[in-house]
Amino acid sequence: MHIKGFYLDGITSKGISARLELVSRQQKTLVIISEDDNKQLHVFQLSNLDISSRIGDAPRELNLDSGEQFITNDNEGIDRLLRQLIPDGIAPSLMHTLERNVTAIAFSIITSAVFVWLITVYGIPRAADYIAFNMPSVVVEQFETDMAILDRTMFEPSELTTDRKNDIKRLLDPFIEQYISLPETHLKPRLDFRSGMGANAFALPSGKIIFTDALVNLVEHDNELVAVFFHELGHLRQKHMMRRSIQDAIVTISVFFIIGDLDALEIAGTIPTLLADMSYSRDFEREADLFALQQMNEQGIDLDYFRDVMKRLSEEFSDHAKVVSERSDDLGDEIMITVPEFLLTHPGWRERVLFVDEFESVSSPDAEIN
Amino acid sequence: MAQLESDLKSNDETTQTESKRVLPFEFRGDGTEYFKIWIVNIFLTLITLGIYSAWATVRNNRYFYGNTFVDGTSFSYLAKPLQILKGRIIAVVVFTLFVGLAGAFPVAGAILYLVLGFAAPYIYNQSLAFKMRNTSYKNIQFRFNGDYGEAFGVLVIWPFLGLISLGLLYPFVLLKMHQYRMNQTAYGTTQFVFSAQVKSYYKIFGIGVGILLGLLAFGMGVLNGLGLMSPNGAAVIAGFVAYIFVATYFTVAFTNLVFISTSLKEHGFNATLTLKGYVKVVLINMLLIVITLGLYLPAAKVRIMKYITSCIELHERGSLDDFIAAEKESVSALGEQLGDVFDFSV
Repeated sequence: MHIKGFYLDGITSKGISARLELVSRQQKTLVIISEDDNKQLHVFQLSNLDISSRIGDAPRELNLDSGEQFITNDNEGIDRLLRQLIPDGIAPSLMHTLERNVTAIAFSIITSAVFVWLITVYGIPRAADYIAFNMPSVVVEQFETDMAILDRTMFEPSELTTDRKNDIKRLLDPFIEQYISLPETHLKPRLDFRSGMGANAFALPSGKIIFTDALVNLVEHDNELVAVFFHELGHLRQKHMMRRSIQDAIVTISVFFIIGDLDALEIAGTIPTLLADMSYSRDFEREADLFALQQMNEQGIDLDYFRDVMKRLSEEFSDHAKVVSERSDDLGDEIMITVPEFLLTHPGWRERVLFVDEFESVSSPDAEIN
Repeated sequence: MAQLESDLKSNDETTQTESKRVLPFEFRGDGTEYFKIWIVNIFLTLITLGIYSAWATVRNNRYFYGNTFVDGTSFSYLAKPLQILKGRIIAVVVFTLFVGLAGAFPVAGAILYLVLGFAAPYIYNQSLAFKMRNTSYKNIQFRFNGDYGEAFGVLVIWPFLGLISLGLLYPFVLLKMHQYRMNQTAYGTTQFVFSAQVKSYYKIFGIGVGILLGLLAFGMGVLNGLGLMSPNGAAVIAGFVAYIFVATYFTVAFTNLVFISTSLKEHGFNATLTLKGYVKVVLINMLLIVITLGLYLPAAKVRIMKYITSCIELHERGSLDDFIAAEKESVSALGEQLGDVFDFSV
């Protein structure tokens, strides 16, 4: 038997049309013969040969340890030769066999999908939780500097009057005291005011809670600010911003590993990151809402204030169509984000109001009577 | 098989005379075939918690190199999975430490970024050296002979000049980059020669800016005319579309320019990518990727590769048979992997 191909000596780029023949099966000796003049070009042992594994129908390379190469399209021929020479070795082209097996492909698709889903939904959030709640306090303290960066990039100083600010601080101080007395409180929340963007509030990893001027001016009752404040406390308590940054980092590294070298299609590579981010974000908002509602209930504040402020905020967003979403990591990107991002990362206000209704019906003792 | 034989025959006939052939590049991969390789790669990467990714990278690259043909012969990818795995593990550890430290300690972070700035030219060189060293054609390896000083100029000093000139020097920045990259690359012992003029770069940038402004004005006009959204929203959307379009134009125009301006001995290249053809492939790809929830990704990669190679040709002047191999050398995969995680887009 012989295999037709192309012989390259590894010194120049001149290829010679040639064939590979088996000389002795016992000795595992092979020979490469020129097709032009039937001269022997090279005699060698199988052990001198490195045969590339089969991949699709791409040509197969046989590299000699002295640098010469025999290249052929006859993948089947090479596999047959290998089976002859190494009858009890592992099947030649094992990966190729796997890649052609319909069952293996179907199994791979399903298992991979399930695996990705499990990692995204359970694995990554848990890992991020663990890291966020076990972060050394030295590191947490460093997040103080977030504020300086935000002041440089996004925020302007607040233009509210000192009286107004003090009123709000006085209003919220008791709730801060009460929050600190809760078990497992890690950080002392501190309230601050900034302007430079639409109505919004932030809970930074350092414990700072920021109200924007626009938010303060938007509300019609101060208890609406209390509702927002509790929502932000909920973020703080669950270390949402920290967890989200950690999750983003894990997802980015995982995408790099799994999809790998996607030079031409990097945009597509960001889709899973975006999807994962969106779902985490909505979960976090839900958790923060739940915390806010529980606290309001305990403090005897009417949940309608929560409904009102959510509705007001969502109207504000659709009116002005330019607001930065609630995150401080990778600031550069955030400045450009518009309504869609907010709508995707936050549950819609109707959904949130429904959530309040649901919460009320479960938690209030007189629900039955109503 | 018949393909290779006929290729060989034509090769034999033409090497006798001083030939002047036009040899098209061709990608013989197939979307379905690559999908299977890709999904098995992903499956094995997942169940081995990422370890298999190095083998996956090698199989992916071997598929793409091995199916890219010119003059009847395909390219080969030579890197071994274990080298890539080692480099990748170190790169990911370095990256994680870097991001962690830079995020947690801003002062240390500033120093780290400075260190990264000075390491970047070295990483860039190592990365290209690894890529070229592991690419071969007709059993002759490519080479990239990097030089730290020149790389520093191209990656740090020129971009800085571009910045302080408010972008007016960007065409120069890109020209220097392409010059450095192509002139330091060799096939065996033969250096590539890059001969583009800066005026070609200014022309492309000028057209790009023209397209950008035109699309922006047109898009905002239409969107505001429809009155569906606020002027700010219209500006963002028109800006996004215009940005994508211009980025695509630059890809097409610069790919063509780089090939046309590159020669290897007397041999030259030609590339005739068109904006229309490229955009069509990219849009269809994006659409199908979204519809199939990402399963079309491998076929998309094949499709774009087929399009690009179909637009490139080698203009043979004299013989392609007398290129000589360079001395053996080995390059660690670490630089390439660092380049990947820090996204230097080499």
